[in-house]
Amino acid sequence: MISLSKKVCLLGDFAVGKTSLVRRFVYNLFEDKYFSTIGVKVSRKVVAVPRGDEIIELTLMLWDLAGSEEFDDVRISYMRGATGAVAVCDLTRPETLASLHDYAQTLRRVSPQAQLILAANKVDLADQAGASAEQVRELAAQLAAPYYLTSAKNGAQVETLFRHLGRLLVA
Amino acid sequence: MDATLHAPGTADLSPAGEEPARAVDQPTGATPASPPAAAEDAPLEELRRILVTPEQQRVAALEAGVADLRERTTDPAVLVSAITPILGDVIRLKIRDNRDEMIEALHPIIGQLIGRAVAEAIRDLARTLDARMHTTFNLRSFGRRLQARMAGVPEAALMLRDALPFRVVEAFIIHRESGLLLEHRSNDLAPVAETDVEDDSDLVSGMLTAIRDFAQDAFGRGQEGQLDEIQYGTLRILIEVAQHAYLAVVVEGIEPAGFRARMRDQIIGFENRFSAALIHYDGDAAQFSATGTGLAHFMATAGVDQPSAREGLSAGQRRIVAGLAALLGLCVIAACLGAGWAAMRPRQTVMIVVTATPGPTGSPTPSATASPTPTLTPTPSATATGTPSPTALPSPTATPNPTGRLIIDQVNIRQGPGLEYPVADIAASGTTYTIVARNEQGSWLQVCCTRTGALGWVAAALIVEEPQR
Repeated sequence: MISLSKKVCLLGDFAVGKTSLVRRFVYNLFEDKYFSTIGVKVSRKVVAVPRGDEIIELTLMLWDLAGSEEFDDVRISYMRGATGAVAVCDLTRPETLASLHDYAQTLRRVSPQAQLILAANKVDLADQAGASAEQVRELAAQLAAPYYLTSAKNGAQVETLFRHLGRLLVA
Repeated sequence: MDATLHAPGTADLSPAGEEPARAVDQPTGATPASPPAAAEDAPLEELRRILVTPEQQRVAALEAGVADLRERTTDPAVLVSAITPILGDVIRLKIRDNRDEMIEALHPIIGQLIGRAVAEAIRDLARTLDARMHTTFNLRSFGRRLQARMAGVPEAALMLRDALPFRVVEAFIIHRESGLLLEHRSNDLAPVAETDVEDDSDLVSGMLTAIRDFAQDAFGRGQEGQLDEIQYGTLRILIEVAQHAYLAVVVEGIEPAGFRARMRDQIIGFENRFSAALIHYDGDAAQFSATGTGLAHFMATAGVDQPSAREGLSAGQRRIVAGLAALLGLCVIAACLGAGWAAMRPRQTVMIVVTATPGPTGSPTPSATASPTPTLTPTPSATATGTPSPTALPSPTATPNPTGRLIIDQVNIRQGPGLEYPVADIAASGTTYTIVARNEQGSWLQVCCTRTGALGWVAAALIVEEPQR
């Protein structure tokens, strides 16, 4: 089996659930305190994805970037060399959808070849949703990226999202 | 004249006063829509064939040329191979004609390299001096001297090793931009399962890269510099950076003199060997470990802590071991004395006299009394007072090959004419080679010879051909 490793960034505003998405399904070695010190924490997610007739063991090195503004400058450095990114927004806070434009723009400037996928998180809080699935679909179309309505709380669509990203990365 | 006579882009062929507009839209060589007109216009068709065919051929040739150019400019590999010979010539000319300007341009890079080299040299000197200061004549130093002689290493090296215990714990080669792990080796003696170490090494390499990026952004703005060391307790992470990858070595204790240089050689060698794979790294690290990067050898020879026999022994056992070692030492001394006595005995000496016979490449070494150049011309030479030696006479088949001198330091001599070939040797600035051949583009020269006596290839831009005499 062929083994590949790819760098993937998790982008999005503060408290949209990036770390929760990562924490739910990936292997962690480091504590979350690194967010407050250098603004990033690296985790790993291994997925098996098909490519033609073969199966690729793909190791996603997930760079979970702090969403707070104090790390705005260094965030660009962290995006270098990324071949994929998960842009995460919070369905209960519509303003987090709008800011994904900026994240996507920065990513495409720093790593033009990077594959982008959208995660509209906290779908389990549907009763508090401030943004509709239609808005997410429109945003995804504007960013030319696939999207998923996810829930880090109950795991909905999280695994599917990473597998989809994996397929994009090995295609 | 019918508008179909005009080929695209040949509007200047139409007679004055005629409207050439239709020619643009009309496909080249298209037949008019009316069949009877076609039948009647056979002479016109012939005339059109005569007039337009050369133009069509020119257009076809131009299109082929444009397609070729497009291919050359869109495929980076083809583009690089096309401009490399030109760039080589440009750089060579620029260095020859505007040396000061080139120095100014390269100063930010070279200055930094020199600064680091000087700093390292000073640190090494300080360590050596410190070790020597602690040297006193006692039994221990005598034993060390003996050990150094037996091991064939400088005594200072052993002193340094004794004074500053050093151990390489782990080594990582990491892709500089993505932070992905390319290769990892561990000498950690702690009882940790190898799989666990391997499992975490890619995470460590990612975080280490993040820390490097953070340090660069936080402290290195507007200035050249890299994070080259991180210290935590007794452990330190030493970092040497190349263009697309960097080497991070976790060490315990003070590294011996020249260790940094060895790290640099290691990562530069790696970079040279895998440059193509590193530029467009696809995440497949197996290609590095499968072919062997030399990291294992580096670890094995970089002062790896080898658990000595005395560790774990009781005091009594140590005394016994020391006694045995002393006995062995006495035996060795006796053997050395015997060997020395044997060596001092007068014996028959064989002297090999080497004469200056032209080699296969026909490049005679010039000498003060038998310089081939001046003595071969009718012009009398002030230095060539003697009769030319027969060995200096040119033979019809021994045309001297040109020679070339390397103009920069640390030049890779490769096994073939291209960056994709392995490095056969690394040569210093000023090294002179005989030029044996060159590739078709003239961008690579085959030279004789590497330190192993083999032929090698060097980029033409890095060598200045010396005038033939």
